[in-house]
Amino acid sequence: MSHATELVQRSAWQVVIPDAPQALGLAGGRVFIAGCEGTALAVDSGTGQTVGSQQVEGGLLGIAPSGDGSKAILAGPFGSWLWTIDGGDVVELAGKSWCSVARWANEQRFALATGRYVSVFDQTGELLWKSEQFPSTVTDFSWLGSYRRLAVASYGGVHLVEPRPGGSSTLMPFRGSLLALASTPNGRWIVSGNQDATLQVFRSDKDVRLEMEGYPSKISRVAFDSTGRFLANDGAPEVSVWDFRGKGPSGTAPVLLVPSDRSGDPEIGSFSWHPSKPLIAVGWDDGDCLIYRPTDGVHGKPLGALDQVFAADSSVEALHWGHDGRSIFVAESSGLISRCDVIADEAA
Amino acid sequence: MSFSTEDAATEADRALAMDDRIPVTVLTGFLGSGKTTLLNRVLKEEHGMRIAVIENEFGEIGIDDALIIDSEEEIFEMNNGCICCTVRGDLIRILGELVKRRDKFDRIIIETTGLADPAPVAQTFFVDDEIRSTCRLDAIVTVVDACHALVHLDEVKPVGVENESVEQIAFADRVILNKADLVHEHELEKVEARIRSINHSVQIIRARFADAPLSEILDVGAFDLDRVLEGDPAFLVDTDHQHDLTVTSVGIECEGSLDEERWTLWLRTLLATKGVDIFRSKGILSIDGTDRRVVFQAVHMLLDSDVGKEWGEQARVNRLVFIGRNLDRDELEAGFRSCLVTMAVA
Repeated sequence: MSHATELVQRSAWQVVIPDAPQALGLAGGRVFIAGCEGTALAVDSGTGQTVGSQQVEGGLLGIAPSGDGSKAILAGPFGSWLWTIDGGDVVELAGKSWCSVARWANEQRFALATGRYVSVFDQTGELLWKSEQFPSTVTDFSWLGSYRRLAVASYGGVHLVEPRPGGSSTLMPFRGSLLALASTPNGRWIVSGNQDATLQVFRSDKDVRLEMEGYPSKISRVAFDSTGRFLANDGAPEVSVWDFRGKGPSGTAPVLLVPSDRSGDPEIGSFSWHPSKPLIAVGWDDGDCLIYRPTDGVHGKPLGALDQVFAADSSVEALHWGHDGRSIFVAESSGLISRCDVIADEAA
Repeated sequence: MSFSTEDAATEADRALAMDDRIPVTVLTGFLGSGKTTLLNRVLKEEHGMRIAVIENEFGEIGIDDALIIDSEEEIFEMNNGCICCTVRGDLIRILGELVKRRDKFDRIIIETTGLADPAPVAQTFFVDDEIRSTCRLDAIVTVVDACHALVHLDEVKPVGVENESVEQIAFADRVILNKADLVHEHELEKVEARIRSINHSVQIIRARFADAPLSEILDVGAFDLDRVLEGDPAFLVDTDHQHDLTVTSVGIECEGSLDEERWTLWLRTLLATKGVDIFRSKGILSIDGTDRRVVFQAVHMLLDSDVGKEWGEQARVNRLVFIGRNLDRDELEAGFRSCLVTMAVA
């Protein structure tokens, strides 16, 4: 554990769920937590008061709140559900298929990956469109640009599909198992993290694919910052941050974000970009949560954390920066969920 | 420091007991062999263990009383250009999910379809670091119907089509010879001989209504070669040479130490060029200049090795076995022996 500072004040509030958190979402002033045994909880982000809870059979893998926080999609190995927080209604969405990812396009539509399909629903849970079968279970997908296309990660490449009857489908091929997907806000760059320990970088408007290799293990987390300039990914003991300015990261080296204490070989638990600034919060499995500013780093050289550091009591499973950039919500393996307020101007 | 055999076995057992990774049993078998009956028995027997089952077929009869997760048999080729290196993407995903809930169960059984090639299941445990650090492949158990085994094993397939029942025997650490009560003793012996001609080191357990002792199926530690060899030093080495079979096993036993560089080059070259035909290989080796055994396991081309126990005062005897198709015993032996360190003659 490291040196808690006065720049981040921990424990504005804390709540506990009975199972290990799998995912954490934030919308409409509410924090949403999904637990591995099927506990879903919605709490007021300001007070920590519970505003809704659910329990589903078979566990949960993800949770996706709507923009206003009134609804959330619960995704699990044995099914997916649309949960209306006020009133507690739960609508089953797509049978018993494995579902680990769901994403809202806007208040009216959302998509979820169920087994080898992607489906789009309206806000009431009515099916609007279902894809053709993909080559394997869809591991991730991303809405592109104006929500008229989806980038879908499945074995063999990224499929660009228009989710409407008769819509086009284009494959950007990569012969491998894709685990995670991220796209820039303008939809120009699409990046996959892969089982073969590479990053594959695609241009959605050109037949271009770049490969970043040399990682020691598979890459299962990728995330662009809000501007689309920086990409963060795992796959190494450090978080790698690539700069996509101009022609992209080809020929460059990433900035590496290192834990504060390497003696126990801490692994990356989760990371989250600041909503508007080039800052990233990283939670490690030794409990450390650190804030980094990648622009301070020299490419190819490790970058230590800013002073804003706080220590959790157990492994950090998920974290999410608040929409105002002044708080970070942290979910630990013990089931503890807490809000940490950033009180230094430098980071906030 | 040295160990008696008994001490060493105890040490290996202790090491296994201290290994807190989740043990995983791969259950395979011919269609109609009684695989699901065995699974239901394992689930119902009062052993106090909580078991999660991953299955990718609808069983012959329903499976009761378990956390059962359907998989989709998503077989992926690895990006190394070798067609024999395939893994199961669905298993990686499901195991990754299960380990997060590990306080809810003690072990995992993966039930494969009656016609499935076990290699992609086993290889999944070789290629994913996260799985290797949280799960331990305990054994591959194959259920065989004693009445119909020879028919399945001797079935001639069209050119290019694998006889998967032969592969299931080749990959097995344990064969449950089920419905043994329905077959005469001499027939059973013929079936056992045929099984051993494919995989001489496999342990065969006769059963009726799949009533094999659970201790022979669970916590076998078959992938812990140190442990296996303490119990049966001749485990990897056969005496009955078979040259007339397409799929067979070649055991090599020889005293001495290996030049690490030569051995590594030879094995990697062998698996790179013949990995498609070599289903499984495993062994315990004496490497020149090291005090500890080196243990290796490979499924087709994918290889894993680790440092085992100290040799102590025991004779440094290399023991290894190759199981596969069209194996040339003389070539394998000669290749292996060329890696041995030879003493310079003054």
